Amino acid sequence: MNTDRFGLIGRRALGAASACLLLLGAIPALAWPDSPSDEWQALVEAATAEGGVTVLANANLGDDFIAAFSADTGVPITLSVGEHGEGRARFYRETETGQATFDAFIGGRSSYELADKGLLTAIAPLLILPEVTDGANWRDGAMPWIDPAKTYLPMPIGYVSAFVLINKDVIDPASVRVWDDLLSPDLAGRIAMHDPTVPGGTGAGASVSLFLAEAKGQAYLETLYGTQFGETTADYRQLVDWVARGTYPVALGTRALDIERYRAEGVDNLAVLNMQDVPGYISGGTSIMAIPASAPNKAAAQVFANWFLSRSGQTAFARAARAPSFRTDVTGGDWPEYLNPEPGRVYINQYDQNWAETVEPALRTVLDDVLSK
Amino acid sequence: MRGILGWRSAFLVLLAVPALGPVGVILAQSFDTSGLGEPFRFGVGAWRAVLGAPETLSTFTTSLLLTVRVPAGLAIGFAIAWAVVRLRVPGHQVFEYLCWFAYFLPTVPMVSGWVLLMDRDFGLLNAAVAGLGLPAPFDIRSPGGIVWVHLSLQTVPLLTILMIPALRLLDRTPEDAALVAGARPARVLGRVVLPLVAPAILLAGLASWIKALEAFEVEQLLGERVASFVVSTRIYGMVSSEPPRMAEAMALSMIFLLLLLGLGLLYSRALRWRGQGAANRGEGSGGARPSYGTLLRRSVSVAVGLYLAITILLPFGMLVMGSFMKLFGFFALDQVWTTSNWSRVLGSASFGASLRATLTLGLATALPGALLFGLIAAGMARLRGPQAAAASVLVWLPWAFPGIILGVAILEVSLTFPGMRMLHGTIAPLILGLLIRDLPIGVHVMRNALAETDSTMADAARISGAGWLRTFLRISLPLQMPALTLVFLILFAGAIRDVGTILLVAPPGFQTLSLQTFNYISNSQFEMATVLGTIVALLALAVSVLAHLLGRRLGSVRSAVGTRA
Repeated sequence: MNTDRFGLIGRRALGAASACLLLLGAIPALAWPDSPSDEWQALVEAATAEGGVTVLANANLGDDFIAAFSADTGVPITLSVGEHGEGRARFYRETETGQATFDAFIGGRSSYELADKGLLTAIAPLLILPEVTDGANWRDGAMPWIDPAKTYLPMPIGYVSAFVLINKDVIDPASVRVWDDLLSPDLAGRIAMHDPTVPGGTGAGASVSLFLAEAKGQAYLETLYGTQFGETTADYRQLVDWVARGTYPVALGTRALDIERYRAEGVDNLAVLNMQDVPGYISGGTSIMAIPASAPNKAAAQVFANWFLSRSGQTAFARAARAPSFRTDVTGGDWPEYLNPEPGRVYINQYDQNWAETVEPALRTVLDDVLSK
Repeated sequence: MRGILGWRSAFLVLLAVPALGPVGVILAQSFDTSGLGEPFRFGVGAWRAVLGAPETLSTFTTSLLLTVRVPAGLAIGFAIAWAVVRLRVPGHQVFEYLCWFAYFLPTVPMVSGWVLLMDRDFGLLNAAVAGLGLPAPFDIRSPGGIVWVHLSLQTVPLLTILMIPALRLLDRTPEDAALVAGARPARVLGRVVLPLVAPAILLAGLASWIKALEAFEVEQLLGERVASFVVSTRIYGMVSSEPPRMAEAMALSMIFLLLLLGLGLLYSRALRWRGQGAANRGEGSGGARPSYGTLLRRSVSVAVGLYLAITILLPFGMLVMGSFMKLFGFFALDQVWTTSNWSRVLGSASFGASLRATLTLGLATALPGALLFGLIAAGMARLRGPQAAAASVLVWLPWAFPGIILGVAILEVSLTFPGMRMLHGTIAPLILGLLIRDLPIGVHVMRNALAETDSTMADAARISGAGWLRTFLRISLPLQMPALTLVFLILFAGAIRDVGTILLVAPPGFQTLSLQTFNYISNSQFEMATVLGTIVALLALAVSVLAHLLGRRLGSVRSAVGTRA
């Protein structure tokens, strides 16, 4: 996931050399963006002179994402794994102590408090590409943010979560249409679930449980946990594996990434169902961008932020994350249909800071109460 | 006189910094109740939260229960060591080498091998048993499975390596006498051999027990079904929470450290006691090798060979096999096998960078580390009385630092100490962490080697007017080159396979093969992880061949290597 750059001297030398080459016109003009402004070109030159951008991000982003950014901007990029616990820990500790070794973080909904305390860079003023700031390019007429100030934490990806995965060789898909169908005695002890007690409470198991607590109430959740769940696991892939093998023919809290990986390799007994009564909630996955106030390469961070939210950046990211972008011009990508929000439907956005601070605490209390029984 | 005292005091202070520094940092952070981005605020909230949480007791209990592998490992390890040294069974050299190989194998990818064999749903061993119409007996993602993985890959091989030298040094006369008197082999083993090596066994058990309590990677990867499984994984969970619960993690770490430090001090004292005892017994003397029956030797050889093949070669084979599977563990596909995992890994931009990072870290740690530990050992040899005792304790204290806690402490030091901030974001904190972690074993190997070296040449050099440093560089160092090379290999192998210590402090863009493997497995990408794991295992194989060859030359120096069980 990382490129070969960690030496400070080598990095600066590389940046300076690249800047010189750019100035001399030795590097062919980049095809993106279509008609770059002088401000953008100056910013790219400054970013190159800084030596490039370092991004803490999802482990699933790979060479294609790196190549797309480099091809579009010419700015070197170091991608470091930041989705797992150690990445998050580093993000928090380095950001709060003002000693970031990275320029941008792409992860889950984790940064409200850092934003509130002024430890993050305001991203909104940094966005200078018209295709990013033009609301017409975004669903609902504007780019979504999860912070109330719509300044620090953009959420460019949004997909429907809380779908039900079944083994259609074992369970008739027609028998699971609404959430109450999961309470059928036929499914008692046959449903697997992502562990809602994963430290930090940020996994899919916790999110789905909070959603069900809000949509269906505590009694429903108690029945589900009391009689229907056979087992929980913190391993996302194991959930899909269990369903594919029929160990547990139904699972909640699975990831599309794992489901599609199994399907791509020839496993054809998996069916994904969006319940018809309450269709699920919107999740931003690991697409939330944050820039620490102490980011060492300010210009490079700004270039990355603009690119990441552009059509080109979102195309590369949506392909890697296999999830739909909120951009209207990023369509027909490599993500499954069941992740697309239905037009006209209203979904709860669990990433919204207002929801997280006003609704979620009460739901957490409900969940804790259910889990304690 | 004053100069010498000053030098000795400074030496002790230098030893105290890596030994006590992490403890001080962890203790201070455990009392920090400030919010995000706020300055230090003293409070006991974290301690109250940790001590009041029911999970604290349960995780400590689980951690202790999982150390059941230590007595089991001692029994099996002793049996193998006895077969290799005293019975000298056919294939004994291969068996000894296999233990070295296992010692250097990277644990994280080898877990994949065991998953393929003993997963409850798709494990091949379970499938074989199920084919006989019996219920699947194994579950690798259970406490029993975790114990088995540790036992097979670490505990038994390392305890065997540790006990082989002790058995080699054993006086053979009592054993011969018992055999000549007509005692059966089992009686000789139980009444003669075992009591004689009991101190060494107990010492190995204590060292192994400390390390067993600290284990992290296997529990983190296989214990996911039970969140907050053992103390080390609970600490990791706290650190990686959103936002991180650092103060609670530090309070829990402090409780854990107090327990481990107590055991570490006990171990240090036991080590010194045993050293004195060994000197008084005049080990190594004895007559001809005792003769055991051919049938016994062959039977034991088959048993040991089978055990090592099943516990080391089989999961290694599974690791390689897994790297060629389209979908790890899924045999019900039309096309099960592929080479695309290899082409994807080897063709990715990150592979070359990871390989370079791995070799860079290995060399940057092992080269200065071997010399540094040699110097520390030489310095300790000049200490006497209480200073020698204090130095011994200080050197052994890091033995009690779990890698994940050491990593957290190093991260905090590099973020909060003004002098260390400039090193943050470089590989210096990684090297520091790895050197602190391996300080006990490295210095111990060098001290043993120095103690066994004839001092005539060094004395002659000093009488001729050479200073201490010059004597060390021109006489002692060349004489200790085999031991230094062995320490280098131990440090190198430790650096390339480490995850826990460097997980939190590796700078962006610096990802060793082991870290990348850990990330792949954490992200359920077993196919990619097994490819990298195979490559790291082959690297380990090369290192183990070198170490084994050196180990054979070094004799008793090997005794110190096996203490990382």
